[in-house]
Amino acid sequence: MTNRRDFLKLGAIAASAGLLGSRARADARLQSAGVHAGPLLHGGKDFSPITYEERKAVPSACYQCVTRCPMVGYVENGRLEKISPQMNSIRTEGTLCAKAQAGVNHVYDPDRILYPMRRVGKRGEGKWKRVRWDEALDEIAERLKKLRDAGTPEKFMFHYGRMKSSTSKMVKSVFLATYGTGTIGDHTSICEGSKWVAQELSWGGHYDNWDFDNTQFILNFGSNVFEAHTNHTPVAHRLARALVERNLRMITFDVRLSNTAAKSSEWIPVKPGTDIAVILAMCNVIVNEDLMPVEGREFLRFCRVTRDVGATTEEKIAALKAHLAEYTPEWAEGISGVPAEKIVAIARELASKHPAAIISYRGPITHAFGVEAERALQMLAAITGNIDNPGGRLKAVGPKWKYPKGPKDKPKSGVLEVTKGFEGQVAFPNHHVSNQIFDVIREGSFGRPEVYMWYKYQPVYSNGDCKANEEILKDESILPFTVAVTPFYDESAALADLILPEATYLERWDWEDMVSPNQVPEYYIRQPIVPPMGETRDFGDVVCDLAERMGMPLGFKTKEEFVRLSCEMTPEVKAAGGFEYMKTHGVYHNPQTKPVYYSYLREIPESDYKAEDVIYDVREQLYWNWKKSKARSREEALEKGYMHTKNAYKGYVGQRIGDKVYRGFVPDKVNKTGYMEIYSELMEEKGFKPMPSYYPIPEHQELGKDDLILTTFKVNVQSHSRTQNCKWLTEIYHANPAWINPETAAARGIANGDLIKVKSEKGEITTKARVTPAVVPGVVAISNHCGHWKYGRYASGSAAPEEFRLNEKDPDLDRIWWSDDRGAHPNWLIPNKPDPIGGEQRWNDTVVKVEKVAAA
Amino acid sequence: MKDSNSKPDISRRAFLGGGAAVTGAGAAAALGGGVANSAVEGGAKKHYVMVIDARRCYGVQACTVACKAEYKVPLGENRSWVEEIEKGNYPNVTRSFLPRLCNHCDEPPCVPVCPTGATFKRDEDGIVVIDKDVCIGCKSCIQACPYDQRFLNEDTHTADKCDFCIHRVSQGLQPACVEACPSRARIFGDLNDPDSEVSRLIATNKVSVLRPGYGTEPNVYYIGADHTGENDHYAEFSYVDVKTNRRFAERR
Amino acid sequence: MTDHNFWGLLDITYIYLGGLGVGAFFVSAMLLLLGRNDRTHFTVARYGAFLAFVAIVAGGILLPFELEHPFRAWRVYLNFAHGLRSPMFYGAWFLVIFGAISFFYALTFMRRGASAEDDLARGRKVLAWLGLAFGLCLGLYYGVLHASLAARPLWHSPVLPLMFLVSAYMSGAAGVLFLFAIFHRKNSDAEVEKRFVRRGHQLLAWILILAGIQAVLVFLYVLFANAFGSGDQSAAIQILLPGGAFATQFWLWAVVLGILVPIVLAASFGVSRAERAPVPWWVAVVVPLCVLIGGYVMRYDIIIAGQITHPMGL
Ligand code: SF4
Ligand code: SF4
Ligand code: SF4
Ligand code: SF4
Repeated sequence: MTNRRDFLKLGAIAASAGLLGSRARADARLQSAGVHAGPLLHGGKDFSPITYEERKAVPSACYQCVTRCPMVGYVENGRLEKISPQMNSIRTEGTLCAKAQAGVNHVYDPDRILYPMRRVGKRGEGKWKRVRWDEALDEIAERLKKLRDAGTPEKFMFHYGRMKSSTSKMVKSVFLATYGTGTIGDHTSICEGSKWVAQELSWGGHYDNWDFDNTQFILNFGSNVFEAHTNHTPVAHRLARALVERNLRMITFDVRLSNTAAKSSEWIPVKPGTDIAVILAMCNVIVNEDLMPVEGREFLRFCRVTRDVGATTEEKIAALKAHLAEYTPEWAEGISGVPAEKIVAIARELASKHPAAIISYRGPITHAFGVEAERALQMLAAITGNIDNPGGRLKAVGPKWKYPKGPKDKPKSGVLEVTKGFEGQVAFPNHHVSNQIFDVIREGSFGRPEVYMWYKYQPVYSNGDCKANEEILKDESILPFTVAVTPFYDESAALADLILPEATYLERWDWEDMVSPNQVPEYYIRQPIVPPMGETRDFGDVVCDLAERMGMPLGFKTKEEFVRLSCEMTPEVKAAGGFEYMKTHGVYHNPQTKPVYYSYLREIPESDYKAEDVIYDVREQLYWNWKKSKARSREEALEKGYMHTKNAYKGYVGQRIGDKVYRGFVPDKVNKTGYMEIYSELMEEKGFKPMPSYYPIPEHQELGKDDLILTTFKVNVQSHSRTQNCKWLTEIYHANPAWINPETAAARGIANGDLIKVKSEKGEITTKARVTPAVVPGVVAISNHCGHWKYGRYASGSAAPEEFRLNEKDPDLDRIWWSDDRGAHPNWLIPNKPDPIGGEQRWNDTVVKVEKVAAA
Repeated sequence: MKDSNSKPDISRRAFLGGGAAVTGAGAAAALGGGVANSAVEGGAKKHYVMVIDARRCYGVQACTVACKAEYKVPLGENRSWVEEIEKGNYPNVTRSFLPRLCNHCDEPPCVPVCPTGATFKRDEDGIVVIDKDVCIGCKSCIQACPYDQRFLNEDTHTADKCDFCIHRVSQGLQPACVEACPSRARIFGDLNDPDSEVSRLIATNKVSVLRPGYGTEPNVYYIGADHTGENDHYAEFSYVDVKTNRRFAERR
Repeated sequence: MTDHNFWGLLDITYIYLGGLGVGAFFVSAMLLLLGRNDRTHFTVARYGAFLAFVAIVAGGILLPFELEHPFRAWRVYLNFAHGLRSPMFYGAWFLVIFGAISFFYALTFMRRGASAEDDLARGRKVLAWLGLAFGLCLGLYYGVLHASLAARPLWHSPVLPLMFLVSAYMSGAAGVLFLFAIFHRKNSDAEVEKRFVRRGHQLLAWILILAGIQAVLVFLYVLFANAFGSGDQSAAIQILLPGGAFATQFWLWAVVLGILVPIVLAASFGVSRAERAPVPWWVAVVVPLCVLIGGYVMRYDIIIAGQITHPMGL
């Protein structure tokens, strides 16, 4: 071996000596590349692989998913060449996922649109003419002014998807408020609305953070942290670290072996929508076997478990026992398919390992009564003392930006009540019922918007029942004038009357505020890494422009200005160096700040709860400021009481527990007490059981012999609908064969790779079968990233209209090798049905039939 | 000589033949020892290796995409990719991940076959590189690599593969995939430095390399990797599925 | 399946033509050297000389088209620093040397009035010896190029270079026989014609012997891969064995048509009737065609199947 190497050496020497000159005209950079003496750095710099020259670094923030990780873009000759992690971020600790790296593809997507487009043919016909921004904005301003002058500003409906942070504040709190429409739709109920509602009913304002850095055990119900999740990379890399470096045990319940389940110590398959039975049974085991750890017992002091808020711990335990009595492990086995012994064993393990992170996501939630699964989980975390403690399930913290609020006098907004579902359909539409918006508009009894504008949203593709969505969006009698704001020609934009081309997130400004997994807030910004291409504009700038045109200037002219002002107004950021600091560094956190735990334990000083307008509610034993509610007088407030005064939660001050007043679990969106409410009077009033309870999913109770349950899921390299134009991601994941258990497949004569038809009440799709034991029998699992029919050539093969798109030469267009299988979109099959409690779209309840079309 | 002494023990290593030894290199060795390489600063030679801790890898493909982005690798080709191995019977099913890249072999079969000298193993750090201004695109090296790491780059019309990000490494940065891996499953460093993380990891863990029977002496080491292949199907499990994210879906 | 065919039809055709050149030169040189100064030997040797040159030039023209950067090909020839372990470095040199030899060799036959005893006879013989040597190198190179690659288990066999070499000689003999059958006009001198007839039988006999050797080599090749090779090799050879994707093609075209049919025909019309009558013209056409087609298919199958199969396990 030595000989061989030395022999090679001889060659190298001969070459370096210029012998025969064979390397003389070679790649000089490569030939002279030296050896770096010191340690190699993780990030902070970047070099061109061709010229070896250093590139310019621009700190910014990812927006491939809602996690919005800080990152750094590297620019060479005015081109964004590379996206790298932000090494100084305490959230990501210098990490990014695959999607972030592929962000470059958005900027140079040959199908991104660069100019405003006005429809000339019929809707959806694909005939467009190019208009100047002036014309486009004048037309919109004209229409909006007309509505406002007629006293019906609410007929301007604004519907957004992933609009967050500064853009949200600018557009919603300033622009739309100044204009006067409250007809604003979101998309939370197609994400995880019921999870938030459950949290609002139990511990108040939503967002649960999971303290993987400090936990001893992880119990996961249907969260795919390693592939998706709203705080994906910041928590996923911490989870991996905990599992490997601390050898933690993690148990995952899922209908499918997700990568998260695969990396767990154990995957426990569970029938769709039945996680709640397992959770309840675990609670049963823990209270009945008296396994409740001391932390849980102590925590019960801050829980409301009975109608009487003043109950003793013993009374509370008795109430728990009584409520849980029927939810035995054997009962749960019958429902979920999880063996009773398994449930008992895991419950015991959970009770013995403290602290434990009990986590969940869309798996248990996106079903009928999904709220109850999350409430049950909160109960399980509460009785094991794993709420808001180091290593447990935490109330998340994020940065608190201050920002300019725009003109002082804002009109009282009018609202078309189209966002909360039909009357009585959903008990707590706290996060709207966006899956019903189109139906409600079509039905018409709450009125219809005359101008419907959507932003960072894909109504056609992202909701269930794509066919109906298309029909409604195409129907001028339902939606007379529609505007899409988007960088890409997607399925929805193709049906618009006017398309305003947005700059991609890599060409925009924002301040950002996503929560920190380590409980220390991080301030960070997004700034343009390259200037907006063509005539694309930051939508923040566009609303300023629109406001000017309508004679209602907002007080700032661009998003950049808004971000700059916010930096100067936010004390911590200002102290650090304000806007200039943020532009250079991208991220800031106060090194003095300690991680926030036990926020509920903070005592409220007497001066606060004895302040003017603060009243004591005897029944709920809490203090609240009636002025912040909708009560017209102190007397009315006292008489109606906290619970029954509209918006009373906004005035919540503190909960009296024993002889102290605590901050407690601050309510949000509903008038709950300052306790962690396991017992919810609000639920009771809506006709549900007050304690977390099992309700069977109606459709699943009488399944026919051929019936299967459709489950959808996400994978690690795609976000739901917005990343498929990124060639480097779609090259990895472009087809979404349906996962079917071998047993289920065999019963239908289906072999791996066969072409199959999946049928539901709404329609049918044809796709390939992936026969794998990594999914529960009786289920068909189809990811929801594929089957685009627009969104550019990489996503679907369908190009954006030529005159409008970026016509840069991209040789990769000729190298798309996946055109013969781009998968199928499962949403054609799924009806838009909300969870009756929280309004969440019931993504994973659809009953389907599967049959073989052709052999592989 | 020094390098081969510092080669660690490989659990899966089994020498099948060990390849043809080159004879008559005594003189070459004498010659080779005496000449300093101008590119080595301070005379310290590196022995760059990568350790892939498969226990940490959660298959998120940041490495794959970072590598694509670094080199704008044409669609259809990969310098690095991640394989998924799914096996077992319901409900005892597992899935694990195996990131792949060039092994920068100590006995690289791709080097001697090259008729132009475009492919060579750098003496100063052990990186196997391709000089794209010299390569004639004869594809010999592509055929010679037992790891299917080489491909023909449609843009440069030359052979191409992972080069341990030499433009970064030579200028003091970690390779792009290493920087990108959110799980720190890829660890890169100098095996000649006994204090480096890679040396420590290799010394304290059971490590394996790929296809040790080929005598290639790989410099990519795996911790906790599952080497199950599709043909282990009948032997051990009734279900084995190996997927690569490459256009060549089949593992080669 | 075709994704890994980095060496495709062009390469196959090139090594096929190269082999044909080497084989034709071999036949020509052997006839020349064995035939003393016999006129019929000289005439048939001339067919071989021309065929060798044409084939090698045709192959040589194809070669640069397989390179992605043909204009850098000069680098190979100057690469004494690194090329000494690269088969292709030698192959490139063998090709030009052999090409030059076959050029000059063919030239010696071109002159008006060229004959076995002309003033170039000596030089011609020297060239014949040189060409035999370099032809052997080039003929072996085509196999070695593949056989040296452990990463291609189907190729990685010591038998492969011999198979390619024998196939080259066989196709050379076939090519010469074919030209002889087409272009030879009956000589008015019965005595001379008798000797010409013997030349035909001689070529057929060579084909028969070579085909026999080849049959043994094919057997050894399969045996080697199955019994003595690594697991990778026995896995790879399955592609040529019954049930494999290339089995029918390989056995029907390369073996039956390319080896067995020539053996049968040569045995029944050649040796057995050696002195009685000329080789029937259809035999002199059909046998070469079988050999030429079979030789091409053999290379095609092995080169393509060798890139489809790959090491197993990891
Ligand atoms: S998790 Fe990934 S896609 Fe989401 S913001 Fe972070 S890096 Fe971007
Ligand atoms: S980036 Fe890291 S964790 Fe993700 S696939 Fe690559 S090696 Fe594995
Ligand atoms: S892995 Fe392949 S390409 Fe890389 S050095 Fe080894 S043989 Fe060469
Ligand atoms: S393709 Fe290029 S690098 Fe590979 S062997 Fe041929 S000349 Fe060398």
